[in-house]
Formats: sequence, C-alpha cells, structure tokens
Amino acid sequence: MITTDAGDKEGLAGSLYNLGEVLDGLGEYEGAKVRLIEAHRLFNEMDDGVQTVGISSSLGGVFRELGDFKSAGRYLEFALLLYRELGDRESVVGTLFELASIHHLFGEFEGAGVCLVEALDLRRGLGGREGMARALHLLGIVRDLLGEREKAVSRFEEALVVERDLGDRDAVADTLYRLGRLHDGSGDYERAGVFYEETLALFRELGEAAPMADALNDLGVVLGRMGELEEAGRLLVEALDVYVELDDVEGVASARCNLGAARGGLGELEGAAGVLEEALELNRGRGDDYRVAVSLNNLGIVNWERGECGEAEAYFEKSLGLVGDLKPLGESLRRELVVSMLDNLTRVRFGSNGLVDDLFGRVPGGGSLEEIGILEGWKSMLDGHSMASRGRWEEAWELVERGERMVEGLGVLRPSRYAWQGVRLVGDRGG
Amino acid sequence: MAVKKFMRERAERSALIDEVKGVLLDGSPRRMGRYRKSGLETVEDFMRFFMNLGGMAFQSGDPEVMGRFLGSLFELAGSWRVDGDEVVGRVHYFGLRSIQGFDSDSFELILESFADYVCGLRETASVNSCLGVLRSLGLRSVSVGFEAGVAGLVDVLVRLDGHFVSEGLHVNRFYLKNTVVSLVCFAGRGRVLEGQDRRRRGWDSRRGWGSASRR
Repeated sequence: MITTDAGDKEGLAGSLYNLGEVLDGLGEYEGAKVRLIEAHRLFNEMDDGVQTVGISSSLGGVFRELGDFKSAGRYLEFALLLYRELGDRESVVGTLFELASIHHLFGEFEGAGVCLVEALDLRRGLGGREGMARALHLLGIVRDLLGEREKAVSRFEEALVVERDLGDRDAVADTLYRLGRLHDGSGDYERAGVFYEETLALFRELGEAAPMADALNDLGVVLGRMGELEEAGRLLVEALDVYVELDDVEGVASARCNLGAARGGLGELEGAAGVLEEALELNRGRGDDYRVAVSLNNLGIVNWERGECGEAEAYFEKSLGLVGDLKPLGESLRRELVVSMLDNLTRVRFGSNGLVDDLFGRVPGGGSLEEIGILEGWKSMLDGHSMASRGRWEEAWELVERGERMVEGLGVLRPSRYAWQGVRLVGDRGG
Repeated sequence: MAVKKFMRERAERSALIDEVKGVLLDGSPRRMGRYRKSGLETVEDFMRFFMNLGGMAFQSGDPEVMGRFLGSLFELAGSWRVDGDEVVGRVHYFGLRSIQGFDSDSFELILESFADYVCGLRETASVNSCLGVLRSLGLRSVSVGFEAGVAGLVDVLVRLDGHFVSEGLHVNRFYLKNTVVSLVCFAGRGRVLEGQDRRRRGWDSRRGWGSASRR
C-alpha cells in the first residue's frame, strides 16, 4: 500500500510479485495469478528481463495448478526464451522440465521428449546427478508412451544406475517397476519377474501399499503366464487383500480376475468361478469393457471345464463382441486378449462341430494367425481346398497336410488360454 | 495250435468271438476267473486274445466271421472297453491287408462297418481321426491301383457326407473334404507322373492309376 501511494512502480511490482509467490505457496492460485500477471506487466514495462522471466516461470506453475495448461505453456515458453538470452542454464533446465510436463499433459509426447533431451544434455554439462536421473527417468516414460520400447528401456536402465548411486529408493523402486512392465509387455516374462521381485521388496521396505499391491499383482501375472500358478495365486491373494484395504476397486477387480485365471489353471474351478464372477460384476460396474472381456474369457474356460460348454461358448462370443469397442490400451494387452478369445472360441466351436470361418476377420494385427495354431491350421486346409478346386494338386496337398498336422498337433482341443490383467498401463503412474 | 485251427466251423468261430467279447464287456473277476486254466486272467490277456482272434478272422477270409469280429470291436469301443485309437489302428491294419491282397469283399466289409461306427461317434476329434484312416487307406488303394477299393471308399465317403450334412456336423464335413482333396490330389499327382515318362520314373503300369485289379 505504501509503495502504491508513493508511486514507486518498481516497489509495487516487487510487492505484487512477492504477494503472488506467497499466495502460490499457500495454494491460493487465483489470487496468485492476478498479482503475478500485474507484476509481470509492470516489470515488462520497465524492461526488467530478470524479474520478468522469474514471474513468467512462476505464472507457468500457477496456470498449471489452475488447469490452464495452454497459458502455462505460453508463460513457460516465454521464460525459456528469456533464460536462454540471459544464459541462465540452470533455469533453462528447470523450465524445460516444466514444459515437458505440460506437453505430457497435452499428450504431446514428442514435444516432451525434445524438451527432456535438451534438459538432459544441459544437465550432463552442468553436473548434478539428481537432475540427470530425473531427466533420464522422465525420458524413459516419454519413450514408453511413444511406443519406443528399446529407447525406454535404455533410458530407464541409465536412470537406475544413477538412482542406485544416489540411494534414492523411491525412484529406484519406480524405475524397476517400469522396467518390469516394459519387459512384461514385450513377452520377456522372466526378466520382468526379476524386476518386479526387486521392486516389490523395495515397496515393502518403503511401506508404500498402493505400488506394492501393483507389483504383487503384476508379479503374480508374470508367474501365471510362466505357469507357476501356485506362487502366482499366493501373490494375487496378497495383492487382493491390499487393494481391498485401500478400497481400490480397479485393483480389486484386476486381482480377482487374475486370481480366477490362476485358480482355474490349477483346476480349482469353483474358487475360480467365484472370483471371476465378482471381477466381472466390478468391471461391469466400472464400464471397463477391456476388463469385462478378460473376465468373460476366463469365465468361459472355467465353465467349459465344469462341463457347461454352451455357456462357455456364449461367454467367449460375448467377450469377442466387446473387442471392437475397447478403450485404447497397450497393443500387447489387446493382442493377448483377442488371441486368447479367438483361440478358445475356435477350439470350442471345433469341438462342437461348428464353423470357424467367420473368426478370421477378427484376427488382430493385419491378420497374422501365427499365435492361433488352430485357426492357422483351419485356414491352411481351407486354402488347400481352394487350390484343389483349381487343379493345383501339389499346393493343395501340401496345404491340407500342413493344416491337419497343425490341428492334430494341438492335442485335445479344449479352451485353455487365460487372459491376464495388468493393473495400470505403462505410463499411467505419472512421474 | 492257433485256437484249434480257429475252430473248425463258422459257428464255432463266431461263438468264440462273441464269448470273448462278452467277457470283456462284463469285465468281472468272477467271469474272467473261469478262463484261468486257459492262461487268460487279466483284461489285458483277454484283449490280446480278442485281437488275435481278429487276425485269425481275417486270415480265414470268412466274411461272416470278419464281420462278427469288426462288429464286436466297434461294440467294445462303444462301451469304452477298447480305446478309439486302438480301433482306428486295427481298422487301418486290416484295411491295408485287404488292399495288399486286392480283396475288395473284405475291404468293403471293413469300410461299411467302419462307417457305421463313425456315424455313431459324437466327438469331433474322434471322427476326424477316423477320416484320417480312410484317407490313408484311400491313398494306398490309389497308389497300388486297387480300383474296386477306391470305388468302395468313394461310396463310404458319400454316405458319410450325407450323414454329416443331415446332422449339421460342420467340422467333420470339412475334414471329410480334406480326405477327398487328398485323394484327388494324390490321384492327380499320379496322373501327372503317368503322363510324363513312365519308364524313366520306373512307373509300373500294373500298379498305376486306373489299372485293372489283379483279381
């Protein structure tokens, strides 16, 4: 007030800046925004670049808190420009991190990556291992979101070395978890299991229940996929207990569905059916078609094993019907689910003497049948019939023979391919 | 002594097959115990003996006895006393022997009774496995020029197709098509060979496609 009366423009701007910062610290972002914008205008008029850039940076943070990411980005870009002019490399790095997070929020992962690569390069030159570890970790997340698996793994591995050196157990645990998810997603379950085991031990030590439950669930899934069903079941029961305690409905549904798969695989059909039906209800309640489809697929197998073949077929059909409407999710998960459903449904239809031709059009990924032996065998026979009708005997012979060998090589045709549920998709845990 | 030269009268032969089948269907220790003196004690002993009788039935060339044996074999399979794979194996074996001897009567008998058995099956995989046997027999018949056998096989395939269609057994019909395609392909390949240079390839016209039966 005194500074206003005295007509001291610089003092007024400084007071507004200070007040804005205080309000920002108190979480009163609207008030902070008004003061900081005014201070920004005044310092700009006075051509005070140093103060203007500081306020721009603060405004970026305030707008971000208010959910106005566009304005946040605008102020941060402005701050970045000024920091570069001033040669303040430390602040450039800080602003690049902020801008990367804004790009991330907009889903502009390429832009986030560009900011982070520059931040990492500068940080390497400036020293400061915490910042380097952070940049590497965030770059890993961005590469993962961009689907650049190899680059993501490499960044996380680099980050892990620095985080271990620094003794930052929280960061180490999170990086290990993400590495586990990446290897899990690419089908390297053994390596994924190693990472999940270490991350689980760390989360236990740290007493962080939510990520611990995720690690328990994901380790259970990996072991289940590798056929270690008893150990998988034990971990999934523990995960379920923690999720229930946390009142995490998504986690509860996932753990139940996976527990159903483990129990079903062990032949504990009644127990399996119970948890799968509960999972189905929860997933339906949440309107999560992907998880509903997984639950239906697994229930189909359990019902078939219980001798309820008609019901099993209906479950598979229903599950397959949901695939077209699935929310976007990791390609490997979607593929696993569709392949499981198609394999199971083809086996059931085959066993009950039904036709399977309509299922070819449901094969994901450009129609490769490699993972669905029974469908590939059927297709080969079908092609053989077609060749024979054109008098191309040699090709017809080979195709029919090949198809029969493929189907017969599968042994008893029973639906047995369970689908598993990860709790959260890679990149979803923020960072 | 080959079971007293496989009994001397047709009635005796048939009665023996019926008797052993009866013991296997009964399966009780009390009933099996009566044959201890003959060296037959376990179910496995009786099964081995029954299969030996089958071999003798086909050696005898007596269609009634062969028919009796096959009927009993399929009855035992229907009562789960004989495994489906065993049935398929036996039919294949006896079928190949008939082809080897260009014995169209035996072959027809085998095919007809086997078709009855296949029509009674409900499990898709079992039916497909039976169709595999028919295909194998068909290929052999074609390769040796057993024309009557091929004709008999075609009749059976047509009969099975009618059955599959009327029962709505899609996968079985699809597999039946495989059998037919394989036969046609095989025959087609034979024609190609025949049309090229028989002598250079060592082609035996007596055994080639379309040659007359040796009988």
